[in-house]
Amino acid sequence: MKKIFMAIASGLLAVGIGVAAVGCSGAGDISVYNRESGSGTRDAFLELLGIDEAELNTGVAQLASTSAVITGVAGDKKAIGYASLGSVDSTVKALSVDGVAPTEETVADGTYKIARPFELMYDETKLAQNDLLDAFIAYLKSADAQQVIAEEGYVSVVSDATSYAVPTEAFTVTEIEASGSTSVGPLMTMLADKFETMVKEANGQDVSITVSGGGSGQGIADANSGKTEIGMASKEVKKGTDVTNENVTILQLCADGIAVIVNKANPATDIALDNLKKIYTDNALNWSDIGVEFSEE
Amino acid sequence: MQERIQTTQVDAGIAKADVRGAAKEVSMKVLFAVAAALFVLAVLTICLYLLADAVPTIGKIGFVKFFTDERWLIRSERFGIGSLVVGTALSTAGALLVGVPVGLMTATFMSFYCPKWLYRAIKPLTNILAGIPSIVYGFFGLTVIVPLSREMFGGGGMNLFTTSLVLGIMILPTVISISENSLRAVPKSFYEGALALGATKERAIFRTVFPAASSGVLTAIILGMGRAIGETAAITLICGNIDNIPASLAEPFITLASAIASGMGYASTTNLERPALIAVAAVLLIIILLITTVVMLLKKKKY
Repeated sequence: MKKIFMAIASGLLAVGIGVAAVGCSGAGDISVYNRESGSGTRDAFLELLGIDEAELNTGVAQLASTSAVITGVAGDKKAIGYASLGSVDSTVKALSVDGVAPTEETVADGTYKIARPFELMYDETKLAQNDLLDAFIAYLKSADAQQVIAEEGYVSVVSDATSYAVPTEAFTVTEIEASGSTSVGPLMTMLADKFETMVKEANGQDVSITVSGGGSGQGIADANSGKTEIGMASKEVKKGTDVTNENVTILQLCADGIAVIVNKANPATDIALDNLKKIYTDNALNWSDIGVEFSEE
Repeated sequence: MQERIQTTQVDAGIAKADVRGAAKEVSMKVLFAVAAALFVLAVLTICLYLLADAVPTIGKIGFVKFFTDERWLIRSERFGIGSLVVGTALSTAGALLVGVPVGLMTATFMSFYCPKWLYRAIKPLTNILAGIPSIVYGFFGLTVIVPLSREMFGGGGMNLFTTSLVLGIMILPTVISISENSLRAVPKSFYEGALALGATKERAIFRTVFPAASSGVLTAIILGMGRAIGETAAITLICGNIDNIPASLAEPFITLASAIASGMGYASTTNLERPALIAVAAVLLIIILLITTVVMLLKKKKY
């Protein structure tokens, strides 16, 4: 028995030493931090950089939360990561991208590159018959909804919003549906839940706002055809080219900005979008390859 | 009941008590049987539920693809568990490499060398170690071992080395307490006989007592292995969660359990994402069932 033990133990030891000896492969010195597959922030980041998930440099860690990425980057000198703009704190440094600093203003006006608008599309002519749709759109434009949006880490684009009050009369329409982008979906679901609760508290009525997926393309198609009351898209939507139905109005719900974060010891303040894409696809890249020299090891 | 017996006539009282006692015995029997049945039902439900969900999912993903696809990318619907299985195996091997030698030596010390006063201090320590929630080990790993490992190897510090070390510590209490018990269960006469034949203390322990306690020691190792395979909360924090087959101790990786834990937050139920995680859980369950079976077979031996 003992011999078998010894054999197993020494075998394991040999494997362990072998594995250790093979040692470092050709990886560069950039510690690349990602979110896990399935994260909305990761989906948005990859989409905006035009990187396919399968070619992504998975880097040193794929962490399950924004705060884990920030903690990781804060403790790792050679790190780079990304996080929703609203959640970045002072323990890390957010880089400018192509010379534009990530702020609420640059995200809202679209000059910051790693950002995208969340657009809603609805048929203007239907508002008169559909009082629930009318009320929900009014709620989405209100300060109440914009506060929820800001709390979720998105950038509000409505400047002079007022607070919202549910109409005293009961709604004649009790069910509407929003479909499209799965990135907008979670935020929309949250806003719909809050709105449903507000209506329930105000006049005791049960209304239902269903949020379904399908992607931005589906959202645009559904808005054009009138299949669902609200179409959702997580990219810029243009009247005429995307929205062919001339009754459909486009409303920007908010903007989603993603900050590129590095360790505070990193001397860089700006990164070119091309270099960022290189970092996230090429795992052999070093900081010096993109012109960032660390002063002391 | 006693008071009642005292207040009634003694004979009648005894007769009544007998009837009552018999009724009570039957009802308790039923109660215990029901409890046991509930427990069996719970185990069977878990197994059946997982397998019933997992088998069609694996069919949909494709049996060959499920086991041979190199990538585990939930969002791209690439569900290859190869790197998950290898990662689990490597981290478990690493944990055993750390935990077993230390654990067995500690158990030997505790049963043969340790003075009584020290034993009274060490024994509760192993119990405390066993009782610490695994997320605490994970946090310890993240704040202490990860920076250390980053210093040693560079990179992010979340890698095979870090995880093996933390897991090794986590399985220590299992290895120590079970192997110590089995070492103590070996009759003193074996040890004394060896000494009487002129063996040194070490020779008596390692050549006589250890072989006699081998099945218990093996059980300890295998149970430790089971814990390392299934460990989730701690590993998710420190392994890096990357579908990578590590080529060195300094590389991040992913395990079956950590893939489930990190994927669950976002996995959509409308496509294969959530079902695929359940399939991974079923694979994990089967591995653990195999290990439990091995332990049961080993238990047939005496010490």
